[in-house]
Amino acid sequence: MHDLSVSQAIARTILKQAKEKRVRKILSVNLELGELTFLNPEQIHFWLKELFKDTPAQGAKIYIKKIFSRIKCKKCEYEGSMSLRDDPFFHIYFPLLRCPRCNSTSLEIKAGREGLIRRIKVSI
Amino acid sequence: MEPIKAKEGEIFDIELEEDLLKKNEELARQNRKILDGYKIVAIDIMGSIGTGKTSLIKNLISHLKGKYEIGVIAGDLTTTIDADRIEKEGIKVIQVNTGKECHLDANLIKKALKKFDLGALDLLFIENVGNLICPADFPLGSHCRMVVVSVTEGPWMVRKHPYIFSQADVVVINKIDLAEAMKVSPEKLADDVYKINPAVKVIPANCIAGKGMKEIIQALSF
Repeated sequence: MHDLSVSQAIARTILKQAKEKRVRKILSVNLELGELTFLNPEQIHFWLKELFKDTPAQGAKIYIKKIFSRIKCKKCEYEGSMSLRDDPFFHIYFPLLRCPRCNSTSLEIKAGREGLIRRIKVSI
Repeated sequence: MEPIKAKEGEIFDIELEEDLLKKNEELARQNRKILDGYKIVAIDIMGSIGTGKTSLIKNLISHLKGKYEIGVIAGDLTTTIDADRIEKEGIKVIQVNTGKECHLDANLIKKALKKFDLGALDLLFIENVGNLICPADFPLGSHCRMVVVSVTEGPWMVRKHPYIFSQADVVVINKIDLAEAMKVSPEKLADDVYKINPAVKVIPANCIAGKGMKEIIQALSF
């Protein structure tokens, strides 16, 4: 839902970098989005294409990598992926906030909440 | 004359590694530090539009006023309707109008905190923009995240929005006095919440009549 405002922030950050480094063209953009965020790759892609029009980033390839969630259990020290609830009601795999080893609900989310601009490829 | 054109220049990567959501998380951590410095407990109240967030805050205030010094940050796209409603309780309220944004973020809270006499506050309620989706991505620095859902929204509200419930510490099921008329079971809603988040506390309430307030205050455990 806030994909537009996040896309605007991404575009702003990238175009500012491009200006500072005096690059002529941005050829590609690599993003990483965590699966626990509400950022939808398809919408981010759409908005970035729009926002890049008439800028040095026009036509840039946009690569979006999905970052899978990883948790650490505060009780049994388990570190790894979350168990997924495959409930037909949700239509999606919903990550369950419970340690798959000891069932504890005291977890630390180590990965999956990213909204990262990893790098851009540019030409001068 | 055809000029000689220089070749397209060198191609290289710029590593940015800039995480936009982490930026908000960093600001949220700063907010938490400020709040902890003044020993203020902050509670973020989320929920869809018309679910009873403001009524809940008003009722909590009437129970807690006198015992604690309370402040409220009210978030909405526009208007000061909620702030005006809460102000009648004799509480300091800061209205944040987000304009077009669907959630409050840590930066807006940081700005709002500057408007309070923090040394005089014990408790801060933050009423998020009415939305069951976006606020989940934007922690504010609060100590507790509460989601309000009501029976008038129908029986599927929790199942349809699992993420926000997975991040809640306390869930209030409001308007239980209307459950029968709405043919919605508060128990089933609670079951749906527990399925998503087994660690959460779910409390049925009627925020206008004040039912469930004591349990909510207990669950908040400040």
